[in-house]
Amino acid sequence: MHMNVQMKKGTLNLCVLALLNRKDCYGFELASAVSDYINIAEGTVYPLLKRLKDDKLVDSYLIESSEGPPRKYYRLTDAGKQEYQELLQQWQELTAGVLRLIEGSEKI
Amino acid sequence: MMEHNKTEQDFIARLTKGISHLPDAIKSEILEDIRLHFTEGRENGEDTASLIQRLGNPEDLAHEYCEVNNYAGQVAEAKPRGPLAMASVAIGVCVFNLLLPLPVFCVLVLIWVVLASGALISVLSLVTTALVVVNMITPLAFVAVSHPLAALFASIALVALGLLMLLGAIVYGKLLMHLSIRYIRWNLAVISGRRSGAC
Repeated sequence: MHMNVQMKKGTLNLCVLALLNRKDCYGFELASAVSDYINIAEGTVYPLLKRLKDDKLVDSYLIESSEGPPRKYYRLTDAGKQEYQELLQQWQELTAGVLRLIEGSEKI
Repeated sequence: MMEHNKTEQDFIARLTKGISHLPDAIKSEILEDIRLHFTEGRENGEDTASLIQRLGNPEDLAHEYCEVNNYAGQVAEAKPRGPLAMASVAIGVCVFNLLLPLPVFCVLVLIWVVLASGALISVLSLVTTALVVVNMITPLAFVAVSHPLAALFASIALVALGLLMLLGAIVYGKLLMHLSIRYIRWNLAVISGRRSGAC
């Protein structure tokens, strides 16, 4: 089942930043890594990468590949690393709050 | 392999069509990224059909690129247009409006006037109906009707026609006003330079 579009847009950003925070990735690697965890059309990663590049949160560099054309790797800029930490904190606060609400451990 | 190339080309062609209005530099960057995705995927042992299926619909992908580009476009166009540039665009818009939209607008207004006149007939026909009815009860000196029933039906038919035209005039008038306001807003947006991309 495909995710709700709005939910997907909100979380995909964080997922891509999280993966790039771990290591630099080329496009296919990043797209398939995201789709290993969440059910999205892999193409969606590319417009997001473009926006992150436009916003100077991500940049790219080329590395020669023995098997074919050079690979385009994406990496987080310093601003991107900072954005990731901020988004991660917001996400943790949000999910903890929503879980508390759903489980109903606190009275209204 | 030939079949794979064909389906990849088909995907690229559909994507290209969806982003055709974007600037050339952005378009070639997008297409290069997606072509690289196919190459990298095959190097990782994936077949083209599976890559296409997992990429999703090319039209949806094009739409998402448009959204990103509109966002970037709005950021880039945050600077207001200078007074000289605004004046020259305003002159251009005015000349264009005089040549094409104004005559069309005049014709549309004329159609509304005809419909509104029909509505007026409706009111007048109500008066004649009333006169015919009064004449049938107590013949009036100034109304000479040879067939009172025929006159009654004729005036009722006129009232119905008039009411239809009244309804048409109201709906059409609202539509005309709505379109005119939208067109004026679009003109102002073009002059001030706030118009975003075409997606």
